[in-house]
Amino acid sequence: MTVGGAAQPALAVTDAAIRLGRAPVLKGIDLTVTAGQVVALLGANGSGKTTLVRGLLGLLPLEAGEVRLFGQPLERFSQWERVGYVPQRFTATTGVPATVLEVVRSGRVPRAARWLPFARGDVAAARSAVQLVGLDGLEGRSVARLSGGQQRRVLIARALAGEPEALVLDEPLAGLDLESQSALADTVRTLKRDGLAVLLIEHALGPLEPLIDRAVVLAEGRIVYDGPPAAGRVHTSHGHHHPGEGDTRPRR
Amino acid sequence: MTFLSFEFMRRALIAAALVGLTAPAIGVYLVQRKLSLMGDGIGHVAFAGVAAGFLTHTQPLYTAVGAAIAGAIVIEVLHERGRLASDVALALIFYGGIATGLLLAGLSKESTTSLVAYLFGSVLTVTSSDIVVMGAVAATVIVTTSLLRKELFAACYDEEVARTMGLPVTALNLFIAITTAVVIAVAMRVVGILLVASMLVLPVAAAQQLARSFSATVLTSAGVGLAVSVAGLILAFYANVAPAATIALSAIGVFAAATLARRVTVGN
Repeated sequence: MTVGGAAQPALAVTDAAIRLGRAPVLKGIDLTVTAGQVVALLGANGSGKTTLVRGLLGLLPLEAGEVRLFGQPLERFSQWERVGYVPQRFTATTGVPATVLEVVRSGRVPRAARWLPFARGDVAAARSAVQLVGLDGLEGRSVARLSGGQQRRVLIARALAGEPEALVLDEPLAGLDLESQSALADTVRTLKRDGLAVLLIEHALGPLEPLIDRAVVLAEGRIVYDGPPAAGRVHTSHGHHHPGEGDTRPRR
Repeated sequence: MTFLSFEFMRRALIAAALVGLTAPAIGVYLVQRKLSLMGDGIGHVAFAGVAAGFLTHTQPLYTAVGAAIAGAIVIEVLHERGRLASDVALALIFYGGIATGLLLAGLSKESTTSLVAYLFGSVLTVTSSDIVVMGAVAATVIVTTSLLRKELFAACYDEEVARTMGLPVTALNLFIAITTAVVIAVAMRVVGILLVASMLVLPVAAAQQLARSFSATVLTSAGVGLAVSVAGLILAFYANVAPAATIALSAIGVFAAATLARRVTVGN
């Protein structure tokens, strides 16, 4: 699976700056996630975590710096089937109804043949993703009729259905009960063993905590910590570190 | 079945059926993107196109298609840049289209009767060559939206995630906008510019009261579109009123009945 070579990080951000409107939100961001690594992106609300993730995925333009996905510069990257994204919010619970299977199956689009209906293999992959997040039996249910936590799991299943090699999760645990949280942790543990690279934004890591290889802490648009998770937790809970201070912190 | 003995009525029925079947096939994506009013915006611009046809002595259908496509692209670009969020932008397009149409029609010295035919529809004057055009458009729209079903669904359901799937979301949105424009320009013969967008939206609105899945919504809305077009036309024939009115009101009636049925069966 290492098309780009084992040395290539799955996700790499170099000296990136992102601006939202007129205000610079992120500056001098360096971040890498390699295969088999789980990196937690921490920081207070408004510290720019979601902005960073959206820049990394090409949803926001970079003001400066570079993003590489599997070694390819973002602007030339085309192997999107290797990337899965679970956004923070559910974007479409109203409007036209759609079933769990329909939404999860749409995660197969990058792997499916254009202009054709989904192949049997795509539907099978969608079904097993539904099973992975513990929603089996609800495949035919309208997503709008599910609970908030179940809807979050639909989004996770949609990303997993594409069998990504890198997974970006924006607060995946929000609204999940403890049982689903540990189920998700089990899934991530298995996929991590297979080489999945994971970047996740979370406030409380819960059952994901033991899986975290590195914590990266954002504060006021800069990375103030990048290192072992335990120290990173301490770092966020203090929450009064100034930009620039992080430059002296351990980095890898 | 006396209405079937009239040649004009048989043509009108075919035209209405084609529009009723086709409009929801693209309308479902407008509803999913919460752009139900986009069709109206395009319709108003198409009105200017019709008047431009009068002025230049060109077949109004062609100028309407051109204007509708141009209007659709403008609306789509405004939407993508987040400028449509201010409904003032849409209002400008509505009034700009109608005012330009009135101006061009005035300059063309065309009688207002022919303009009224486009405003309120004139399905009873549909010719055999109109039917051929409508049939070709209907076939193209139904085939392309079916072939692109999974891509359109992904792009309309969650635009950002669709971008991270590598889908050409902007191109797909433009495809929806342009297809909507063509459908509107063609369908205005049946229900008129004032009500043309109702054919895109109302059958979908009714279908989503009844369906649980997206594919069921697509099929049901096509069925509702077909049924209300044909039933509305027959009602209009016997009541001797404008078919556009009975078609749109039938669609609203189905929507109301579907909503009621849902409340009774589901309890909310």
